[in-house]
Amino acid sequence: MEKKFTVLLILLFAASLLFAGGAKEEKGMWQPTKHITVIVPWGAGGSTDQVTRVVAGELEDGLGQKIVIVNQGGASGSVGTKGCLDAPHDGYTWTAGAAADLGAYKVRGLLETTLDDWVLYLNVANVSVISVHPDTPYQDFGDLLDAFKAKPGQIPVATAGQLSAGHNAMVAIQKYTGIKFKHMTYDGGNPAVVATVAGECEVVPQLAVEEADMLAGGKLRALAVLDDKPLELKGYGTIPPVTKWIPDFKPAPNYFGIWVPKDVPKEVIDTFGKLWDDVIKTSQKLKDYAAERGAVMDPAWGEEAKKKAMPYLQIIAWNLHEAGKTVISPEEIGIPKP
Amino acid sequence: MKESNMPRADFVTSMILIAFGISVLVLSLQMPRFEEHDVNPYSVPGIVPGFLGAVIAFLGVVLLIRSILQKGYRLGISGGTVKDFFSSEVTKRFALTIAISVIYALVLLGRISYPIATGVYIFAFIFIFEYEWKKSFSDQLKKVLMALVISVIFSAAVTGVFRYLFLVNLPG
Amino acid sequence: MLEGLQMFVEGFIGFMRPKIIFDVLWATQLGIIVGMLPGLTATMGVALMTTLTFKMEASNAVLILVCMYVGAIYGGSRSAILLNIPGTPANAATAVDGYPLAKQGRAGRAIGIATTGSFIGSVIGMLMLAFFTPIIGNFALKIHSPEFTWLAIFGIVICGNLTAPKDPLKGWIAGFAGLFVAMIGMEGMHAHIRFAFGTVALSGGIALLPAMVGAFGFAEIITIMKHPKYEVVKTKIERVIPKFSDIKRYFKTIVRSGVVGTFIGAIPGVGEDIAAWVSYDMAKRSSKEGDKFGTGVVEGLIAAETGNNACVAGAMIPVLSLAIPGSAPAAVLLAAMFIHGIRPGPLIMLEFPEFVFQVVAMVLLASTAMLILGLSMVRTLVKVLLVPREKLMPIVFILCVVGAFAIQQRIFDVGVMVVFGVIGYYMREMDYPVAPLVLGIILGKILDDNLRRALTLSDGSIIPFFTRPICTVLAIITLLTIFSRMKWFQKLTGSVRSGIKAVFKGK
Repeated sequence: MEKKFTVLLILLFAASLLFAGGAKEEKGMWQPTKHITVIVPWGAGGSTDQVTRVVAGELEDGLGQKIVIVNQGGASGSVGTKGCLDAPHDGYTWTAGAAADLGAYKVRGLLETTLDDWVLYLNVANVSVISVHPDTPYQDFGDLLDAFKAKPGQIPVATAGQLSAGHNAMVAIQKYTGIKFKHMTYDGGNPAVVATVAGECEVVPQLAVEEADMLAGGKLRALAVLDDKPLELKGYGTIPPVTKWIPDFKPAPNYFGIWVPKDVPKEVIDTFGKLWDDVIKTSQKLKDYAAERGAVMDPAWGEEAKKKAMPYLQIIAWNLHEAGKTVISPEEIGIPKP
Repeated sequence: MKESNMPRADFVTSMILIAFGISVLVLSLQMPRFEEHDVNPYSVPGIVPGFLGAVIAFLGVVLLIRSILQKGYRLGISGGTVKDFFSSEVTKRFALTIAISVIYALVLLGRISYPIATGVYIFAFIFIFEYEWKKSFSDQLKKVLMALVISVIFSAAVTGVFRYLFLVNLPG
Repeated sequence: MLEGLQMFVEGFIGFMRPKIIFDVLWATQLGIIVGMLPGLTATMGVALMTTLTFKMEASNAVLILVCMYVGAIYGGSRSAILLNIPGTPANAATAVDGYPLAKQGRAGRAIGIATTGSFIGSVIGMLMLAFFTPIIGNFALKIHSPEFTWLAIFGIVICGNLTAPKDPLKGWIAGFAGLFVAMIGMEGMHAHIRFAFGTVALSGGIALLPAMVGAFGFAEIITIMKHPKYEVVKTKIERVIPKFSDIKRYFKTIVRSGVVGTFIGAIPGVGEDIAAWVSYDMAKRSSKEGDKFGTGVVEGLIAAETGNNACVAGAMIPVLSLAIPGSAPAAVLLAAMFIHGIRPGPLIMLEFPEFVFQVVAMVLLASTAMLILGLSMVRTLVKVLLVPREKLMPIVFILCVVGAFAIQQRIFDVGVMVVFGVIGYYMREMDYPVAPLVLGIILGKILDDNLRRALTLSDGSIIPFFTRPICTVLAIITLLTIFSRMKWFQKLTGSVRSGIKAVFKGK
């Protein structure tokens, strides 16, 4: 009796899944016959994971199939990205992340791949916000710069590790101002933010999406956004641009998205492109997500997406190169000097 | 394992642990320090594995001393004990279990279709351990059929649940 | 506070709809099944359900995830008791006393106790979640790198101590070996690849789950299969629902384990596994039957199961109050809340106060479903023990294989499972406990990152490791745990004790 009950529950559940996914017919569109996997090469709950899950939910209706998110973290996202490259290039396995990370794997010697091997579908652009623990004496970004200069290499800065958005932000500031800092690395953007909230580190330069809640909750104080215009954050207020203190600072948006190897069947590429134009560009859920988390909604795909991702990639690839952390010159794989 | 053999086993393991701990320590010391990249010297990759290598070697030394006090250095391996080991029923069953499981997990999976590999494995496992070669086949027909039924049901159930409910791309 | 009670009651009544109760039942049952299957963990279950409930209304989706989480952490006790294979890492401590009980033919009683313990643990955790969310949330922020370093070492030391009652040295060796396993692959700070010897697969590291499934599951299969004769356990199910007197007798242990479990759950990154071990350790220390722990003592079982389920609610405290996950499944739960537009964090009491109490109601619903489903299906499940090993073991093995494979979908992980199975088998043969090895793999990364971070912050000084208040406490407990197993220390404490007595008696 009890066993039957269990079996019944499972069957009911399975049946509800089958019926939920009734596919819609449309001409020339790719009709996937099983679920699609998106490998998020970072931990669950991080910035890539969150936005990818929102986008996946929006795409499911149009595809008539479930999209399953698999978190395959490790090695700055290169392990999961490699997992996608090794899977059959049939459109059923995708990966996600920041386009600039993908573009810089080869320069860093982590993975033999460049942006040209992929078709990009971008969803939002993220900016870095330099924030400090509220008990620290730094009231504006100028104070912080002075402190960095007065105590070189002693102020702990929390980031999500080498090549993370936070680290790239610090390297860029370093390039303009020549400051030195104590680089503390954590497992992801959120742990880095938490470490600063806990007072272990004084400064965190991670993405606005990762800091939004702590800023709104008064657990962090934002000093500057790495952009040339101020950032309006729902529930916090206006964050001044870094160009107020470093006028010649050249910002570039850090685009996030999902992508697939470019040799998948052409109808896969076209179907996703159509979904991107019809569904993602007008998605209210993505719009709400972006507004709440301090991100900029800016969907694009294909060649247009590549053009949008390039400026930020140029900046980080060349910053890394100048810091001696690359194995080949970005120039060699088609990333011109900014 | 018999209680009386334990000091001997410990004696051998302690040597392995000491050698292992020291090699980990040496490899950790050889890890890069990234001085040229201006990296904080207390964050270099070798620190924690080096510490662990040292602790493992130290625990190995403690184990070594203890086993020596219990006279574990008398290894006492003779032709007889080795022969007993290889001919015993326990060793045979042990080797058989590992062998068929390894063939399934590391050879068949990913090469042939998942439900077939799984069904073959379940059937082979039950058959090998239940079939008695001394008895005639006809007496054991029921047993064999039962094994067949179990293998089909469970291979199908696991394949179905994982492929359609948990949405896992099964190998092969 | 009255407002809180009102919101709780409103939330609870809001869930009293047939559709929602049906959801609660299947989600909890699915959780129990996921927890029972070795290799499928709460983390994976919650992650899968997040994808499947994306389209639902926020509070329903979160409710299903909470049910899955509670069910899975509890469900793991089943396989721990019946097969000596913890279904999730959280149930390793459950197996220590649960499996001996099953071998003595008291599986029904053991499951009844485990179920009741899990339920009471959840309820204690739930009460603390409701009352202390802001306070405990802030305490969690006091745990910095030096404290995390000590927690990792402390975890290994007490786990090694507990699982190898005869020979703690072997427990510690297993624990440090586990910490070393976690060093393999790319480290987090400089992306340097350690101990991979040029192989690509190893550079990704040894994943916890395949190693655990192998060391517990495959090793158990080998151990069971190798004996030419094997006695099938005769299990009488005399009584599943525990006697009230049992609960009363162990009341202190239950409350202590519940409170400790909740606190440990509230510490970020430290999850159900450690909660279970610490509760178990404290029960052992304070119990009159302390020496018999590990041979099938009800008190040990109830401590472990109360501790790990209390931890579930505990892990949600920082999720709600700070948006910091207290455990790995809680991290996924947090992500799911974000996806559904609920923003937990410091502002939650201002923005969504009713949500906090809705979550409290969800924990209560999930625990009740778990209690009912858990107690009503024991008789069927205990029959697992009557299946001859020749038929049961191949099925357990295919579940081990598919469990190891399912998480990352890599064939390499199946190989890891097999290799750790053989290692685990030999460890058992030589009296090395397997649990510290597995805990070591969990804690290795915490130790690696936090020790280096703490040293970087202090510029190489080890003084903070001893002078920070929480560090001092952890250091003293760790050292006491080690020394308490040494003869000279026992003599010393014995003579000190009698000396003090002598002074007071005035002799």
